[in-house]
Amino acid sequence: MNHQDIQRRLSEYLDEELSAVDHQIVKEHVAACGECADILAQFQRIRAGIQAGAQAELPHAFSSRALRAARLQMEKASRWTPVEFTARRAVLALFLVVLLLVGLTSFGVQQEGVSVERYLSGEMSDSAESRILFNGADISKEDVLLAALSKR
Amino acid sequence: MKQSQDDFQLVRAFQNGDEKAFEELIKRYQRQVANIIYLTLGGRDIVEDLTQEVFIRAYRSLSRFAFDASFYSWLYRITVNLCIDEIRRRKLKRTFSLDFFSEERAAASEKPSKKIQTPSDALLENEKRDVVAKALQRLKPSHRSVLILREYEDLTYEEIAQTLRISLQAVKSRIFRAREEMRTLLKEYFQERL
Ligand SMILES: [Zn+2]
Repeated sequence: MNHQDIQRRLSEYLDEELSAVDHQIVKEHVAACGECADILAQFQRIRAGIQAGAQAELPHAFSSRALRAARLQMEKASRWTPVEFTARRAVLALFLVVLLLVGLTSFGVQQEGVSVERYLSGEMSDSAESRILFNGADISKEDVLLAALSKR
Repeated sequence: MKQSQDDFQLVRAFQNGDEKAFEELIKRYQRQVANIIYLTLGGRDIVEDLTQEVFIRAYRSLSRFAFDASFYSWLYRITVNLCIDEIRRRKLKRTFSLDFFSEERAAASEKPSKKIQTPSDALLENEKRDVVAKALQRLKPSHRSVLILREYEDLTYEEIAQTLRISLQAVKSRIFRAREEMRTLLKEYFQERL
């Protein structure tokens, strides 16, 4: 290993992640090479700086407070889950009903629309169709036959 | 793998309904979690809230803990993910707020002063800490968390790989690059203090 190879391994050397053989090679090189020794020293100072920076502080009662907060959140979630589930199902059901209604009305409107249009344009004034349209259930066999024939 | 088996016992107890076992796990790891957050994000004000959030998330999903990794690597994964969420959230917030400019200016004015004549040891110690911490904040989040787990938590490469679910090779190269970046960022500082 030359100087460059060693430099690339200094980080692993510091972490003791090299094989025993490589570790020994790097160790001997560092003892003789000022530049590599400097880099290693800087890595060590970075490490010391990070460790010294770990100054987070928590209040004395943190653990019991955190446990309480976690429990509270969980309870809140489990209280809402069934409600949410029901709400979601209700929304889905409502959506299906609306879809069904829209389907039915658009189907119906189309037919009615055609009839009214034809009625207004005079095509079916006093025809069998108008009787079917306005008399509802009181339709005879003749009416149907006439309606069919009058289509021509 | 210090305390690993012991942790498992507490996790099992919690899974069987013992809430005190969870509090014991909090006590065991609250300092480490808080420091990972503090080192990653800086700023003392948010540390307590975010540490609590880590344990809330842990509490919520501990019933699914599968005992295929140590408890602390599982917990540190939650911690690192939360930090990354927070970094993203801040970036987003900064993108949409005018504070961006004032924050940048504030950061620029916080550069280490070069005019300290005869600092006491304590002052020197504080200064070193702050300079390194500031440099650390400037690393890419993925490099930052790897270096923190290595330098502060003293995890092995294998443990870091397991914690972050990345390859051993990725751990190796991220640590190396993070250190090289730190060296570049601290170049002036190192020259002054040699
Ligand atoms: Zn060398």
